[in-house]
Amino acid sequence: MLIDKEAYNSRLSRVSPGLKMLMSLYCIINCIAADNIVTSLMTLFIMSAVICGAGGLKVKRLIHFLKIPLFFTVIGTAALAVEAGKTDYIISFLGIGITRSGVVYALGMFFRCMGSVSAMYFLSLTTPVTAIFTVLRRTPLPGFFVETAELVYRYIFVLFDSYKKINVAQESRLGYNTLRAKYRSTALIGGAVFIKAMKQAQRSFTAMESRGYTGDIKVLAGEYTLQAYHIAAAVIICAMLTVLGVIF
Amino acid sequence: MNSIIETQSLCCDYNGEPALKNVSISIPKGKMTFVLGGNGAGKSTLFLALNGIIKPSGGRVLFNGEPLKYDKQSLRKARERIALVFQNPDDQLFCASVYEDISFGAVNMGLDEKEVRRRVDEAMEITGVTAFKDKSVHALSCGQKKRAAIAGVLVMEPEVMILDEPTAGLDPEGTGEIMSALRKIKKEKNLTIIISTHDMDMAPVYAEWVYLLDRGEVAAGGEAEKFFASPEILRAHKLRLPRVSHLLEILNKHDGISVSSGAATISAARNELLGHISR
Repeated sequence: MLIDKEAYNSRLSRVSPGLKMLMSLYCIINCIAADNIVTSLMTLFIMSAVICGAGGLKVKRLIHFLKIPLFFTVIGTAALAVEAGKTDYIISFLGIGITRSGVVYALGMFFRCMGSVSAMYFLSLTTPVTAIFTVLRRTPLPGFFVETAELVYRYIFVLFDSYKKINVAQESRLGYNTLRAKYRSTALIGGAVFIKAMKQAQRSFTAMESRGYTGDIKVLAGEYTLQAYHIAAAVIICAMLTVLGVIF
Repeated sequence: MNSIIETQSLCCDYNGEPALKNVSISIPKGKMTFVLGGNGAGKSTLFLALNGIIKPSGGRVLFNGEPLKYDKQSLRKARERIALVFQNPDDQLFCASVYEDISFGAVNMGLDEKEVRRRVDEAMEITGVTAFKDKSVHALSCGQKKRAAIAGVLVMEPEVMILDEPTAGLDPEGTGEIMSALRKIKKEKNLTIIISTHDMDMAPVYAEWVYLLDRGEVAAGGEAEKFFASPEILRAHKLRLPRVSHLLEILNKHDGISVSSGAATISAARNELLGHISR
């Protein structure tokens, strides 16, 4: 939800979401396929520059968002440095240890991951979810699939609000005092939110019917800009990263 | 009186219980009609019956003299002309984006893109939604959501707009904003507006015609000025007098000051008091 908020505030939020999705996807695939540190680092650097420079996100915020994937990536790739049954160890203990090639492999993987994550963040930090749905509606994906996803997105906030309020009410009545109480309150809140969701569905359906709902959710997409320089910038960045991937 | 919507001995059930009993009302065209009533009086049920969501168990609803028909085609046509704005905007705003949600009604009418965009821009302009049209719905405040919901039905260019407790949950500034917006919309679009409320102090300021419901039946109705001239009937039906009328009533009955409690708005009361003082 925080990422979503940043996306709405980004200076790039009005740029064609289709272009951004393509660029993001291309850079992720390129970064993974290239499998070299230079490409990965350049991807990380360029994507961050675009998010913060062109998009206007504060660098501190970006670092904050990068912390979680960083954490998982470090833990995941650290294990790759460890090998068994080799002879050229840097440090070893009982036949298992860290080899030079292992470290190189781990570092490569680490930067590949971080590069790809930054390309993904480029999309999610500059593109509001509603813009992404606008694009998905035009793809051959089945209509109800996208409609369901969009309704889920919209009503998550409504139901989460309900959940928070009931949670606070329970807390105020000592609902989470003991372990037993916690189990009971959690079960009760689960049931309560489920019922609320059912009732909400009924009311929303009535309202949609009143506005002429025919069975398909047909709306007019918001307008996004696609300037020549957007396309040029995207192409140049992708080309540069491809070239780096090939050279190294 | 030119009535645009009429009900004749309307009986409706809601959740198995009879919610409306023999309700016969006439909504005058081009005016702001207030439907007053306490909780459970049947106001929401009445509104759902007026646009065909609830089928009556007896009696009928007439729109422009024609009885409402309940087949798909007729209901669709009726809903293009009788718009309903729900009390809780979260029930009505189902799209994630404000702009897209507002366009929903117009797109469903089968209009071409250019026309839809024109209507959406106009509706946003008149309700003051343009300022936050690119925002996500869940990021809006209650008052903003209500205005977005109103814009969402305005795009259908209805003849009648029914609002179920539009000022519920709004602070005084929000209430003022919505009511002035509605007045403006009514004037510019030549709409008939029907509002339900139990805000007794706001009703006399804006109402041109009033109906009072209690336990599913019509207790009183008519021109707003006449209705508020003898407001004691409100007490008998779970409501209260407007504060201003109440004050004048007390001055009249307990303090022997001959002012009429029929003045229900501040300006009317002011005239009454000034009139008395100068005597």
